[in-house]
Amino acid sequence: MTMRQDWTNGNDPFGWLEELQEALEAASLEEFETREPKAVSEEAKRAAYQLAVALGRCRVFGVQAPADIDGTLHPPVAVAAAEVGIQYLRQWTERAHRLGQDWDASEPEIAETLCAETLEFLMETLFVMEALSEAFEADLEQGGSRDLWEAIGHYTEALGELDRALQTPENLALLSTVVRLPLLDNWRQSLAGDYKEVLPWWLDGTLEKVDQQITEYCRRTLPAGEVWRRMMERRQPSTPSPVEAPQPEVLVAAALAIRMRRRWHEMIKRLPAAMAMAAQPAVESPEVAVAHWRSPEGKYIADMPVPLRPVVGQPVYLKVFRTEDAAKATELAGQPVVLAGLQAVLDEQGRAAFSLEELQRAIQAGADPTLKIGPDLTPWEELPLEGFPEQDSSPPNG
Amino acid sequence: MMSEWKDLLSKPPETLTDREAGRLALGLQGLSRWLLKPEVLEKAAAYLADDPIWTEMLKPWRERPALPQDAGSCWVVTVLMNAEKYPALREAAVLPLRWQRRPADQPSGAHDPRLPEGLRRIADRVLQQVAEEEPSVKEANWRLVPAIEQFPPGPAQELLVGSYESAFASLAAGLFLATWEGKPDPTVWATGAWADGGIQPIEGLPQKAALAIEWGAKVLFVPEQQQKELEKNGYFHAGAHGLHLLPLRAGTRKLRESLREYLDQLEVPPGPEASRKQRSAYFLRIPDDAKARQYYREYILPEVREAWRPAIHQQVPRFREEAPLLVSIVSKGFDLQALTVGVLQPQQCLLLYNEEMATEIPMVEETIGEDCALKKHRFTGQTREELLQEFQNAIRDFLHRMSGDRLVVDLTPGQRIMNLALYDAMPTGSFALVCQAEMDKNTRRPKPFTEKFELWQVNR
Repeated sequence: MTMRQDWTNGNDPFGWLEELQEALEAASLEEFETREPKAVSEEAKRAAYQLAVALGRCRVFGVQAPADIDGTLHPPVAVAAAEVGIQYLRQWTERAHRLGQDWDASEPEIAETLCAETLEFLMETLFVMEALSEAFEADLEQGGSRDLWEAIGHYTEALGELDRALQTPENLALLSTVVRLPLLDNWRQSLAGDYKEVLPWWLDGTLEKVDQQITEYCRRTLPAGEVWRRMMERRQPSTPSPVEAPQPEVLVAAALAIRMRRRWHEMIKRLPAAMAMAAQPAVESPEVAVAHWRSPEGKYIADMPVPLRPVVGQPVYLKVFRTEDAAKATELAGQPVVLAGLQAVLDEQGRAAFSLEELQRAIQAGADPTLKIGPDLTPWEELPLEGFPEQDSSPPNG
Repeated sequence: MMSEWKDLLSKPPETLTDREAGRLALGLQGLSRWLLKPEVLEKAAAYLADDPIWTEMLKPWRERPALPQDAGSCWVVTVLMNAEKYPALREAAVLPLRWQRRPADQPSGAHDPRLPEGLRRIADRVLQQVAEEEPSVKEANWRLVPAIEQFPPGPAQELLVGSYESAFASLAAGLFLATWEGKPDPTVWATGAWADGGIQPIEGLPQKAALAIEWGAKVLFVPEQQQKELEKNGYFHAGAHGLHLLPLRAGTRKLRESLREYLDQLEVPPGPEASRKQRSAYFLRIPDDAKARQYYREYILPEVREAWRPAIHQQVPRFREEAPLLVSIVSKGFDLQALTVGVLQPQQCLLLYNEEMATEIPMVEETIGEDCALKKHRFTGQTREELLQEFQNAIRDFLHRMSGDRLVVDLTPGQRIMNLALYDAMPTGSFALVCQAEMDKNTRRPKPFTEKFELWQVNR
């Protein structure tokens, strides 16, 4: 449960409560009372979206709303907000795909604004998601509406598309240009409760790390003053500029810095207790999440499938493959592996077994979740976790 | 991720590594088992199956998924348009679906948006067409949803692209069953389009039949036009695989008429656990009288008997110890003898019949012959006097010096003059029995559980 700051005594420095009040007063919201959901106008749906933003912002920033304007979105309002949100997400995803082009075509100040606006929209998605989740939880207590479940599912899906579009190395490099602005710090300081502890990827240091790597690389690869002067003297129109030269490696560095919303160690903390095989419910399809890592030079990838309904005593296997052909990295047999402080050795199939229960215990005890492989125990970069549901996978009334 | 799936799906199964197959199968979640070729799933299982626990967990990938059998379920078979582009996919796939009724207070909604658009369009047409013949469909607010757990939202739209015209028959039958709360038999499949007011031929029949065989189907209903053509050309020897091709009737504008035989075979008879309403409705839907009789005897009569026997025993306590003797005129309609015999459980039954009723005798013998010993007497009389004389003689021979109070005379079947003559022929102390039931106008069968028995002693 989010701890909320009591800013009700006239202390609402950013006017968020005022915005919530304004959003609630939108006349078109009345349509949700008087019309069938299908007959609600676009204007009313946009008002629903604004209400979700305003309400979610108060929650995420821990602003306690006075009782007369506090509450959760009614399911039809939440569904409409999600619908509008999906439209916006699609527009922003398209913009994300051409962020590089727009950046190139813009003056520096405008380019910076492009990135800042993108990040502001990402914050907006956080607010909307909070308001929708709250509405969903409240609705579940009333039996649950499939419409709402589906709307949130579609919203989450569209959100994932935007995240993926923005987490390309090139876009991360562009977004990292805003780290010198106070924007990210301001948001971080305003977050409350869970949001302060589990930061979204654009606030969790990812962008700062990309910025740092780019700066480091440029510093290392820039020619010395004398060489620079000679280069400038000899410069021909077709000669690549010094800033163009390091670009591919910068992008690789940026890619390595991608952060996800969920990481493997957060996931295994949330797994249900292990059950006996006989007690497992029959399922149509194996329920498995897969954690991924990549070796520093990108030659190998490692997978660790994790059962979402673990069986007592079930081990998990870290499997290393060659990136090039997805074949088992048999050549790494005998290499030591450390995960969450637990040690293992890759077998002849490039595989290392861990006890899931021991991994869970180690993570609970605060062990370092980094995967390290090789004689020097080189850290591998964690890639996005797959297959772990962001929300309950079964619809209400399903 | 979508682009990675496309890359992986584009690979021939034999060139996929275990890891790639595993990523595909995990990525497609619940759809994997329905869409991916078995060899791809086998490789996917190999990617994960490192020990017995994981091997056990991966069983679903190595087994053919079961079609849903609960009320509202149906399935459509389609040739996947992208199968050529994506060799890891099956050529044809069966997609389990469910007609879902929304609560009345919820707004009418579109079909599940994760379903391919072509299928949703056909579902709309099915709703419209079925509603013309089954008005309750309009009120119930039906929508089509996938009957697959973990149905992924992303890739389904593209991978399931296909023509769903041929899904019309299955969806329509599924909707009829759903409104009746009937359960489908997973061994009965169909494929058939509906256009211009009738069943129309479809494409991809060999692939669909092959899939039906793989899934253990026993019957595949196809458009009548194609069934004849296929049989004539010997084009597809489905029978060799135990699959019978049966026709969806063409040339009628009534959808239910076209689907009649399919519906009859598709619906699993509701068992004793089903509600009276469900059993009753099913009984009145069975097109074939013999099948209806059999269903009545198995799933309705035992309950009617249990309801009425105590009342009869209370009225005539000696019937509890000593089974009565029954006299009855052969019924030309629905077998009322079975009902009376079922409730009364007589030791012996005398069947009175004339020439016109003679054709019914084998059916009656088959129906109640196992329950009690039968005696038959053919009568020829036409007038009241002739009938009375014949019935008195027949009853006297049947009783064979036993007292009349052991005799029950069923006055339910037969023409009125016969009933009256039979009543007059009853010996003193015997019991008259009349069974009344509401009759269904369409089938001329008694509506189950409306049966009422009147039993009284005749003392002249």
